[in-house]
Amino acid sequence: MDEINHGRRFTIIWAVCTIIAVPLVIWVLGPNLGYGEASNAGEDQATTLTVLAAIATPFLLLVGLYLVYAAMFFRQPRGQMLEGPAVRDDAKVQISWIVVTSITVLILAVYGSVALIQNYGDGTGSGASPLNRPSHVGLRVQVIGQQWTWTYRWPEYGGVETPGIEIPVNTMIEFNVTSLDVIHSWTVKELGIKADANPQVNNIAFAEPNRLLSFEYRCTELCGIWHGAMYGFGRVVTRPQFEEWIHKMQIKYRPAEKYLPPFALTYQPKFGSHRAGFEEES
Amino acid sequence: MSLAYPHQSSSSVERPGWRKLVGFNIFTGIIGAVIGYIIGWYIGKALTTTPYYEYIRVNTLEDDLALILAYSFGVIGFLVGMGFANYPVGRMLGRPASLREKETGGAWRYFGLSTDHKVVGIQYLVGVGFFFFVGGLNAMLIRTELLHNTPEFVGPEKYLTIVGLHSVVMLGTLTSAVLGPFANYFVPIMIGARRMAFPRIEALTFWLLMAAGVILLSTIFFGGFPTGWTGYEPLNDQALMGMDSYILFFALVGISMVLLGMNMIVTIVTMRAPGVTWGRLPIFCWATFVTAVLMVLAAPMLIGTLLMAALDRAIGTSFFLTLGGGSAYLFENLFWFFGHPEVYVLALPGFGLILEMLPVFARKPLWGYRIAVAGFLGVGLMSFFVWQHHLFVSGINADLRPFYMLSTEIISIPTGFVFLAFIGTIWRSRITFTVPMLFCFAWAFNFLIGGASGVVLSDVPTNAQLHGSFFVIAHFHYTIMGGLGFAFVGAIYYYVPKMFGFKLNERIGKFQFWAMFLTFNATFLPIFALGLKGMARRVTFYPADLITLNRVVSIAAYLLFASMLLLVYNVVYSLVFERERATDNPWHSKGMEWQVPTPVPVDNFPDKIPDMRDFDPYDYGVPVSGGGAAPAPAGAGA
Amino acid sequence: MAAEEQNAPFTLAGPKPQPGEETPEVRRARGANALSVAARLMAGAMTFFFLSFGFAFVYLKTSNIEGKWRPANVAPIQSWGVVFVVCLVLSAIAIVIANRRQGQGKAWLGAATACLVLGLLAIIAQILEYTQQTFGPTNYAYASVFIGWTGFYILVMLMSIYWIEIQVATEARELREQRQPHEGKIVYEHPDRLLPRGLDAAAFFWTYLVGLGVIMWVLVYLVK
Ligand code: HEA
Ligand code: HEA
Ligand code: CUA
Ligand SMILES: [Cu+2]
Repeated sequence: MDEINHGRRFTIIWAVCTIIAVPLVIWVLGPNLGYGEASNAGEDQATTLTVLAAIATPFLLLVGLYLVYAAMFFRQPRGQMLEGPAVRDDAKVQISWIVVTSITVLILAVYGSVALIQNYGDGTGSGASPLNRPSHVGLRVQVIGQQWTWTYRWPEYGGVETPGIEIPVNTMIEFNVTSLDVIHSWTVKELGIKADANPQVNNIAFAEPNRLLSFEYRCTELCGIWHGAMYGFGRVVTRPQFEEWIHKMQIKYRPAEKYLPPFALTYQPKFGSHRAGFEEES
Repeated sequence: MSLAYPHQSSSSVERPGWRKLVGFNIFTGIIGAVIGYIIGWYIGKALTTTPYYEYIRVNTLEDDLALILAYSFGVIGFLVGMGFANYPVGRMLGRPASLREKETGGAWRYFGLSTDHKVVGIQYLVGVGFFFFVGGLNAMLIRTELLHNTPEFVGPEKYLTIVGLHSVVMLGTLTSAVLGPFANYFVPIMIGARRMAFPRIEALTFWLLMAAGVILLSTIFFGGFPTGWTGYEPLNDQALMGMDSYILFFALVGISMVLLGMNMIVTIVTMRAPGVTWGRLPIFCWATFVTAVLMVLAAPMLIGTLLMAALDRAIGTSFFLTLGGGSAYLFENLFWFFGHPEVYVLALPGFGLILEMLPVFARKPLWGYRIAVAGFLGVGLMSFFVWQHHLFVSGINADLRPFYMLSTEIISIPTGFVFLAFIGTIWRSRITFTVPMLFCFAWAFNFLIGGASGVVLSDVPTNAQLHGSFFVIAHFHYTIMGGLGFAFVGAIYYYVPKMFGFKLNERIGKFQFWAMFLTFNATFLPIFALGLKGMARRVTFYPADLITLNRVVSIAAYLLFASMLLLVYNVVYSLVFERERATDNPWHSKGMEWQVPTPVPVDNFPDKIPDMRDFDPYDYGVPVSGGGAAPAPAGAGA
Repeated sequence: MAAEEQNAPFTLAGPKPQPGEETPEVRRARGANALSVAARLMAGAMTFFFLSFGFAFVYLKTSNIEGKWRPANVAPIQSWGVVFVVCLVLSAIAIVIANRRQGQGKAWLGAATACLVLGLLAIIAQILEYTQQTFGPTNYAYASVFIGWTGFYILVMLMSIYWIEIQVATEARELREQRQPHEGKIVYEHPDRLLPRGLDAAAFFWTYLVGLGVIMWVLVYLVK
């Protein structure tokens, strides 16, 4: 049994498989992971996923192949009851394992943080006052969730409220996400945006769409019975098309404006007002 | 002292059979539960009609207060009926502290308060198995609904209740899936003790869990609950009375967890036989210990949070309602501060079982004992510092995300230690692929995938797309069902010979393993793909192009369920048709639990507490020169 | 073969003497140890339990959503608060004194009973405060935290008081039986099955709980 140098043999098998698999993961699997890349954030998320998959591959292969290798070569001969070597420890192996995993983890965390900061939160909801915000915000839109629909208000266009959304391409857009009742989450897969809509919280996400397309927005935080039906479709259009659309909307929804509260970053939630105590003072 | 002991003498007299029905047992327990429920309900109702209550809450259409009190009193009534109050009341009157009278034999003790840790272990195995089955049935309903991309089977409202029941039943009862049956049964034997430190509390944890389970299932009579297992506010507050079942269930499970964990820790700390030093504690006891610490510290947070939610619902406070100055973020923070340690409560016992079984079938001592223990401790410690990775897109403390990203990824390092111990133990070993060993290998494979996907989720840029999608579902089913679930079933095969005295059929077992392993992967690998393609969680509407993939998943899930039924069949078959009496040590293990006779005597070690100073539970293998320490009896590794 | 030897089953009845023999003395020593470990664990659990309320307090106070943390008219009655906390602290002192007098029969009993009574008085003070305060649970976030925290603190106090009570009851019974003539003595348990009472453990838990209570009092009563 001791003639075979299992260590070397397994290392070779693992190295060969890794060398084959990593490029496959990067160039074949990566682009097919089904990510929306229609914005700076989405693009970065897709790259990150590919990078993570590529880093994970050697580890997955190491353990996975080892399981197969052990199952094949470290067997008890049939009908016998032999004992293995009574080895309990190997400081060298342990230390190198700790070092390698620690370095990998550090690389991952630093990589993720840099990506997060460079892309202004990478399309995620970053709270009411994100520390790093882009200097070139071209448009603000407020996304309002309520059971079970989304509406949009446009502070730069008189605070008009529209049931649908169109946004201009190649513009850094600031999404102010809030809710009128329970927690929702505004998600646009194609643009890589996801931000929770909390009552009386303004949750800001940034994204810059980079191509014309129609996208689906959907609620991804459980908000009650029709949570699953809380989706709709919007479009990324050119700037002139957008201006035209928003003007149409302003005219169309002007009559409704007097029923609306004035534009604000957050609104009084509808839910909870059945409680007597809450209405009394303030 | 030559005095009479009235208590003792009365118990030794054989009672007539009918007396068993009116003593303290499960029947009186149920009667007590009903009485308590009714009392609680009327107290609640009476309180609700006071002018004060009218003042605090206009909308009194829902009797949340009455229901919550009814459940609480019902549980108390149940416990009193079971006989849990006898000893405490006796002590209130000044009776001295004492052990319970010696346990008697017979099947009846499985249906009542028993302070024999082996009886409680078996009660737990059956009880948890039942709820595992209920959760599995709910999973099948989920998969049936998802056969279509529009709600056609149960509809969106019931769907949410089913998802909630599935997840809450699973998470609530499977937290005790290992500590309940296996740790209760084997930890005392492994450390050379005759019982747990607090036998009555041990029994209490089990019956509390069962009472909680009944409360949870009763939610269907009150309209179900729409929040999933996370119970986020303010949806929680808005929900119908069925929500109260969820709150009470989880709070009771929390209490049961605290007590179970406390009992385990105290037992391990104080009851070890001579020679069982910390450095030689079997690895399963270490895993139990760390899990118990997490339970004792994290579960109270859950109890507190849910009590706040209950107050919000019942007496109109506003912890979580923004309109009254509360905050939904507060709930999310508090919940996940418990929630993340909770998921390691579901993982660590699995680690322990696997590393305990591995040396037996590898015929090698456990490799890297100390690093594995360090791994447990590291995971346990770190798990308190990562909770906001569930809240990356919520807007909470967004600027701290790099920290939580780092801490989450750091958890991979101690988890990796466990893998290293696994790898080291089977290196150049002599593996026999018995059924438990197959499950060990499957655990490694599944948990690897689950863990790697966890790392993907912990990176904020990728989390942005994957949060709230089926990718998360796949991640945690790989870690829970693929990790804990496989370790649990493997441990059933491993330990049933000791617990019940018969061996499970090996052939059916192998078939069951392969069926379970393949169908499990066929179920949850496609779910990763679904998640990447944008399938959202907890929805009954999904894009039409995902129908095919979902049907594949559903069919695989049915087969997975069938493979689990095969396990039940195997138990029945091996018990009824082909009863092969197990020897004392069928696996030739060196662990203490296999050195005691089967069936284990009532006091485990009736004559003497074993002297374990020369005892090494991992004393396998032939000594080698160089390349590691000699197999000295000090099992600490060198 | 060497492995053969290694496989020889481990026997329980080894030749060595058995230092771990579970005599009643060993059991009592272990039992006392177990109770004190348990008391510390429960103290940890209680810390985290009340931490959830403390966290709610700090979180809601600092975020003060729409200025609704605490309207000016929401104020607990300070005098009752003082009574509450004074009783608490005194009861902790009483239990510490009692613990010093272990084994002294009546002297112990007096101090422990004082602790019990003071603990109950603290609870009563807090309940009287509820009935007289001018706000209810619906009066915004502070009111919620106030009522939730103090309410569940009282509940935990009751459980802990039960622990003290059984010490007192046991001691009282023993004293009573010592006074009685020999024939009337009832022994409820075989002496072999007796466990230690865990005075230290109960005292530790109670003092710790009082500490948590004082922190709570400072936050909910004093902090503006
Ligand atoms: C048993 C339960 C369990 C376990 C063990 C884990 C383990 C991990 N989990 Fe998981 N998780 C859950 C159960 C579990 N999780 C549940 C139930 C949810 C969803 C809750 C809900 O929303 O309903 C969830 C959700 C969840 C999220 C939030 C997703 C979202 O909703 O946005 C994240 C994000 O960071 C995450 C991360 C991790 C990580 C990093 C680990 C790590 O501990 C994994 C570590 C393991 C490995 C990495 C593999 C082995 C290691 C090696 C081979 C060493 C080498 C590796 C490296 C160097 C990287 N989990
Ligand atoms: C312990 C945890 C656990 C386990 C084991 C499982 C097991 C399974 N889960 Fe579960 N699941 C969750 C925890 C778990 N789940 C959680 C926390 C959620 C999130 C809910 C939320 O969003 O809030 C979820 C959500 C969830 C969803 C998503 C629903 C949605 O968001 O829309 C789906 C969909 O496919 C699913 C499917 C399954 C399937 C097919 C199994 C299968 O593995 C089941 C196979 C069947 C069995 C395991 C039962 C067989 C048992 C016996 C026959 C008894 C045997 C007896 C003994 C052992 C003694 N689960
Ligand atoms: Cu809105 Cu889900
Ligand atoms: Cu987590």
